[in-house]
Amino acid sequence: MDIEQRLRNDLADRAADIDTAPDLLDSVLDGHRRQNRRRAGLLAAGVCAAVAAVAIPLGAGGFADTGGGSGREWTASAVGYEPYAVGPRGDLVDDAGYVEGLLERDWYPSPDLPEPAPETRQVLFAGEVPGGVRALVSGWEDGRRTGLWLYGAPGAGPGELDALGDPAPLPDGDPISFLSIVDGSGALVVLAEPGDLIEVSSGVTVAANGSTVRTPFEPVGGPDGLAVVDAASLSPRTTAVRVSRDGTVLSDGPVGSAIVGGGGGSDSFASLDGAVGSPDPALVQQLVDGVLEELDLTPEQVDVDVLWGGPIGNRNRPDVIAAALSVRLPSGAVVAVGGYSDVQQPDGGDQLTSIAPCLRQVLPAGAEPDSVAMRCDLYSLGDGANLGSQLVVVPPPGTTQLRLVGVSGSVLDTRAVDGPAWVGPAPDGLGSVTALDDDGEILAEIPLGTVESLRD
Amino acid sequence: MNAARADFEAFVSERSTALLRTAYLLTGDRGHAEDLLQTALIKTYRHWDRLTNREDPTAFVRRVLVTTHAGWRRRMRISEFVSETPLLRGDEQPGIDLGERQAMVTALATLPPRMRAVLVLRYWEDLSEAGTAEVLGCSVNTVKTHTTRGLARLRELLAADQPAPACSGEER
Repeated sequence: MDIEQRLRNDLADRAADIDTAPDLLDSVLDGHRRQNRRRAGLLAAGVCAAVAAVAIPLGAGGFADTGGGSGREWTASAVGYEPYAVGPRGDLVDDAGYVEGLLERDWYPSPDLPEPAPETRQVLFAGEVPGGVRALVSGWEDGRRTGLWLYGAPGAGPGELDALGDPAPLPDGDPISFLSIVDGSGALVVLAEPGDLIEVSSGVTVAANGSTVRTPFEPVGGPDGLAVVDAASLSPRTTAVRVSRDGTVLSDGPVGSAIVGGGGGSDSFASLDGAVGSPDPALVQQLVDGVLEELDLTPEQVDVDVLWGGPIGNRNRPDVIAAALSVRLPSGAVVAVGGYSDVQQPDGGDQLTSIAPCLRQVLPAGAEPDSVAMRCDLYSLGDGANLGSQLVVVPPPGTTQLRLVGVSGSVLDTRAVDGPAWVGPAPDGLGSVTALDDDGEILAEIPLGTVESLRD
Repeated sequence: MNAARADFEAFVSERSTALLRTAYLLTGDRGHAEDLLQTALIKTYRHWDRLTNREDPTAFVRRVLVTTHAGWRRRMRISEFVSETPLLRGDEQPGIDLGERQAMVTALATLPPRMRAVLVLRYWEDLSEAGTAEVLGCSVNTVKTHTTRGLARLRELLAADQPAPACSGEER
């Protein structure tokens, strides 16, 4: 007998265990009345005005395609809409009133913005997570599935949840993962299909030799394709999720994240004492914060040494300032960092400050970056036009001459040095800079710095 | 009593046993099946006016059965899942046949809920691929995939359940 026929026979055989159903009518009607009372209580409490706006047309016999009672315009078309393949998940979805409240709440604060049509809305997740409530509602917008993540305090009702950013398209057919941290606590929520294997790597660290090491992927969640992982064990910016189905990896990469509150700047160092030049404290702070954020470190975990700071402007952008510094990581590895700040007012509009990197390199433990060569490419914030490239060299003390060496090893030019740093136009094809003293002795060979991701 | 209420009562009376059987095949336990069906019928009654005008209420109840059951299953941890899934305890329940039927029941219980739902709808309810997709709220291709993979998984599990061939035997 083939498997299909055998399955058919066995299911029929098994179903015959049920001879007749009990009379469920009374209990069903009782349950219906209980739910009505709960929903009425929800409405009376005024938890969400939109509940009334949509629930009334529902009770009257159907969804109102012409628009909600709140005066909003629904998205005109649900063409192409396909329901999300898996039903609601999370420990709050048992509460029908809660789910309904999520479906009926507004997506946008402005009543002028069209919202997803009610019949395309689904609650994909609603549950209590460490520190509060999270929910994901999907709707059909512009021909694609869009998701709205919500958060609230522990026990918050659907009308008390706030949006975690703007609605964003959800991956079509791929697992959904989102890490949210509100006031220091939160969770990673992964929604895959039942039976999928979900694994999480909690982040990356930089080893003493300067290499990036990702923590091992560990399986999380259950057979239902849902995983909720406490954010306390995860790095907000370097956590990665891998989802496999039947041994095939479906997705593998960093997760989207939202961090609300709990920030306020790192205040990562006490002073600029000993720094050469005139480093701008705000710029230095920004550059340090960039490293801390990228590696999910706290100011207490690093030592910062400001090497130099000062103006690097050219005739196009005369007021640009830059700084170079080193950040020693917990492993002992060192990140050499350089960047510039440029205040522009593109097209006569608002004043904008551009902070751009010129250098970001990881050096092994023991390295003492006492010299730096970095190239800062200046751009217009208006049209993106190149406004010139400045070379910044901070050579060892005693340097009086710089030899600019091309990538092929040929000497491109020489420059006299009369201060702690040299700034000037960066020649094309530059590979390194040789620092020499008065006697022509080589003090250092300084490779031109590059900008690297710290997470690779 | 209004007409809608009378219609609903008639529907419950006529369809409860068949729907309970489907719920039983999804959950593997009569008590769970009755709870599941009751939940589904409450949801159905709430939308009854709309349903009778738009679609076959049976299809709606089937859909609620499947999605609600999947939700219940999701809240079980792996340890609970293995030890408490009633289908896996078939040999402990009175009136359950052992042998081949037990092997199938056990194999079926190891499938993910959605895959099992596809097989139950296709091979017990005799729904088409399109009808199954409609109930599950997914594409026909998803139904095809679940069916193919589910049957393949059952074949493997049932083959593994067979006694090993004799040492002197040779596969032909």
